[in-house]
Amino acid sequence: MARQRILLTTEGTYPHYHGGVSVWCDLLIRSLPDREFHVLSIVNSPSKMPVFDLAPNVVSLIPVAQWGTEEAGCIAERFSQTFARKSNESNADFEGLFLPAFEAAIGEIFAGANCDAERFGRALLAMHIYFREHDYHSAFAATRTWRVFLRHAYLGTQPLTLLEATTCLRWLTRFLGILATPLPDVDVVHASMAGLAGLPGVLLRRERGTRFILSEHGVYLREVYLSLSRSPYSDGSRRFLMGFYHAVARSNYHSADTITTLGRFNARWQERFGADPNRLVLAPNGVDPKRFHPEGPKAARPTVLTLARIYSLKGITVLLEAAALVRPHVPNLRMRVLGEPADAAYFAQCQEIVRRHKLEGCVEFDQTRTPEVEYRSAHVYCLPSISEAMPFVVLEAMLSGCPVVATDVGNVSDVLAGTGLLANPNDPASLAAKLLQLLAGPNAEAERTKLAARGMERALESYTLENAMAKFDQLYNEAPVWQREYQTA
Amino acid sequence: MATRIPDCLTPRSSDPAWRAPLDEFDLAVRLETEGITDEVARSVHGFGSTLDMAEVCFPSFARAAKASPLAAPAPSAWRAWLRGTFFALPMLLCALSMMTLGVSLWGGDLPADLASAVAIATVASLIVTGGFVQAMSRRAMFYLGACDIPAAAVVTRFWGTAGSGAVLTLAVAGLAANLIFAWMPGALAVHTAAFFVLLGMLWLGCGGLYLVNRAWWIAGATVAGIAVVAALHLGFGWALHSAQLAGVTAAAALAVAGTITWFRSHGAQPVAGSFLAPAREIYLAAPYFAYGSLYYLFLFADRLIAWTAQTNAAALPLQFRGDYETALDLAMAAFVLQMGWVHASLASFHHTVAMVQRGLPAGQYERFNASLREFYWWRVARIAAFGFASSGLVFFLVSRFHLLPFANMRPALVIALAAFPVVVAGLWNTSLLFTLGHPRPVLASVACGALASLSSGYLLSRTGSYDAAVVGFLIGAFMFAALSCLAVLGAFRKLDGRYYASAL
Repeated sequence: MARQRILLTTEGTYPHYHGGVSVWCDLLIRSLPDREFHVLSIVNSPSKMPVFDLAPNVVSLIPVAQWGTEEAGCIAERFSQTFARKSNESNADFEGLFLPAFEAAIGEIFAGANCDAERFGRALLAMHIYFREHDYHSAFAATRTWRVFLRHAYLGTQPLTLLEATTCLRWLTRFLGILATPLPDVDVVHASMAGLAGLPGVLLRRERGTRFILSEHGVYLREVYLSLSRSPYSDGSRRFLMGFYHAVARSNYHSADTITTLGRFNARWQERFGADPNRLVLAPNGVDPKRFHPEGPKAARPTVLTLARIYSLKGITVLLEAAALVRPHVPNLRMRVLGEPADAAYFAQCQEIVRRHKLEGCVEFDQTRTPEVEYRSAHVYCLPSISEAMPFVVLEAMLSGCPVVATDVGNVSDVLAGTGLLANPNDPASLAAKLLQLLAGPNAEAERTKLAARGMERALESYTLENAMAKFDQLYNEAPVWQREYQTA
Repeated sequence: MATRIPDCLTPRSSDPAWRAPLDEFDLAVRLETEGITDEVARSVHGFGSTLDMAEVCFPSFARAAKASPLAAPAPSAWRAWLRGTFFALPMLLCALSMMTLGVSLWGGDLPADLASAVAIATVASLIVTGGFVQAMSRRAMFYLGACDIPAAAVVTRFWGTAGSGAVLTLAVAGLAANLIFAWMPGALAVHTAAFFVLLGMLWLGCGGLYLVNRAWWIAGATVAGIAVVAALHLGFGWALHSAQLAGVTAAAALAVAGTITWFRSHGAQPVAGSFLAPAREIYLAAPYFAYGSLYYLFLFADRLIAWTAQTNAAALPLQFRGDYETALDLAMAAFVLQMGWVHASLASFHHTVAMVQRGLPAGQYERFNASLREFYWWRVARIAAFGFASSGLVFFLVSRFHLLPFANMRPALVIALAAFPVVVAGLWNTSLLFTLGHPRPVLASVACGALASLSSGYLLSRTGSYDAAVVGFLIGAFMFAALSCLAVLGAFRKLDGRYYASAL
């Protein structure tokens, strides 16, 4: 019997970048060795190389660069194919196929949260089919395409300026590059987020009836809102971007047969953004207890551990401000922040806080390849994030017998369920109070021991890798909704 | 229970990165990051949920004044002008060293046959590497513009290696051809080939330094090369041409090393299994490559014509004309000053586009196009005025300080000084068309300019004196400027769309 073929689609994660979603993808693929995976990875640059070793059951990697390339689509495509499309100019097809689809898509983007996901998906598929035969770049560079866009940008109560329109259509040209990527023939498309990575699912679902599973970790739209809240763009440009991402996310939700969700927090947001509650399936993350376990000595100094890539959503500045409040009460405190500085400016801001509070002897920035060892030696694991979904680090700390202090973000409170302490996000005083409770409180050691034991028990019961992967094994075997509906009828 | 107003509900004009929420969802997300979970919204603030709270609070933001990002400040015209003249640093430093030390990286008091060999090597190296430097710059700039330094390093290495390979291959092919056709004595041919290769490497290295904005490295490499020549020739008594070979080697090595070290120091790690597909790369860079070579052919066509005119008595089929060369080199001093304004004008173009676009709603693109047409003509007028003024200044200085010892070359100097501002106007058009992603009209313009220069210069120099080739250059310059101007006017009719598409 032929192996089931799965197209796993990612954006800014596996296998080209580190992070929680990347770890999840790697675990998923390795846990299901009987299936054949094609990985479509949206990256920011054609020069980006994978940072994960691909499992033997990954049969192809399709990197799609969003920026830094003149030719949309798969980076690895042979130039003869690109050239053949460039040579196939047809005004009739451009007028009859591309422009109407483009105009329909633009209309839905400007409709934003009120967009018609069905119409948007249809328009995307029409463009995808057009780009099989014709050049992507020529279509988007055409003056008629630009003028269609201007017409829509000029309508409405808040028209864009010419500068915003120029910027926005340039962005859109980059974002939709995935439509020019030839997609493999597979049995299941599994998207790792409800964004651009979900578009292959939208296309294959509509065109070939391929089963489409959508797994969101962080809720995509919610994270876009957060990242745009401090972006340098004008209001008009931000509105356009949000309109685009709403249209994309809604078309993802609309087309997916199954939408997996990590917990109540995510589900609530997914429903608000248009997901059908009947298609939502709970599929929490899981961690391998053979790797993460509590056996090992604790560090001599009271040690607080944080494992995170260093950028603003991870709340490292909040952690450092909290460290300054904790240290007077715990003089030999050791605060370890292990992770790659993903945002140089933000990392500089962190170092400035360390200097300002004279925390040099207390705070360590480093990276690790053996997180399991770090959890075992730490006295407390701290998650200072201002936004999360279901962070692996919390599950890993729980399984490693390390008590957790975390901000009350995403599904963290559901995961901990009283087995760790919760602090307010973005609030150094609140975080410091919880850390002090476990480091310098009257029964600090006893409380740590109690929380660690309960946390491990809960993780073993609900968040093991085996449980998590069994869920996807089951989902992959289900028939698409349309087939089920057909059979029922 | 004591509560505080969440930060996200307080518009912060003092924080330049803060942006007002776009809608209720945006505000709800921000409330959550401030710790207002559904539970907190219910128990502390009395709302059903975070989103309910956001829906109630959002209208006050919708009414708040919109904070727009600040417009970028206008670029410094003088700084841009200075950067535009950097390309001429090696030539300028060589001229200065010739005036003060009496030696330089090339040229100087050489026998006629060696001078001719060096002239051939110099022009040929510029024509051959011009294409590679243009291709390398355009492609690497694309990636540097996207802050993708590893990719920029890969394409720079690709075009640098290809250029070096081409130079070496042509040198070997030239030597082999010389064995068959005996154009020049063997030793002279080897010297010519060596100079050709080393100068080619120097131009490629300087091209790399120019694209990574290391102007001072260009100056440093040139000065180091001149120092080697001076030490070996003046200190150790080496023959000038041998010392110059060593000097150019040193300068080229430093220029290449400067480019490589810049990329390494900016985090460009070697990329395994490179993404670069040669066929795609060549397709994308081909117009710029062709332009790079054609441009130097156009710039030196008159010299090639002059050097090959009336050579009956000479030992070589090509005779270096020191008097003609001096006149043209002096005129080039004005060209360097004029070229700076092309760079400054381009910086001003981008700034003006952004300013005009910012002030117009999306539907008013015709007004935008009209404004930029006006800007274009103003810039042409300013470039022409400055160009002719700087040509006049150079002519005055040459006359005042008797810098041109050949009185019969005065007309050639005047004609060249008249031609260069026209060339600069053509280059302004060229840079606009490149910016708008329209290299084909540029190719046609420069090819016609080179052809006009070669054909008319040939006719005039064969029927009159060899220095009449400069008239061909003037005709070619007008052809180049006029054709490129027509192409710009065509592109500006739909500038709004062209400008948008130029960054795709």
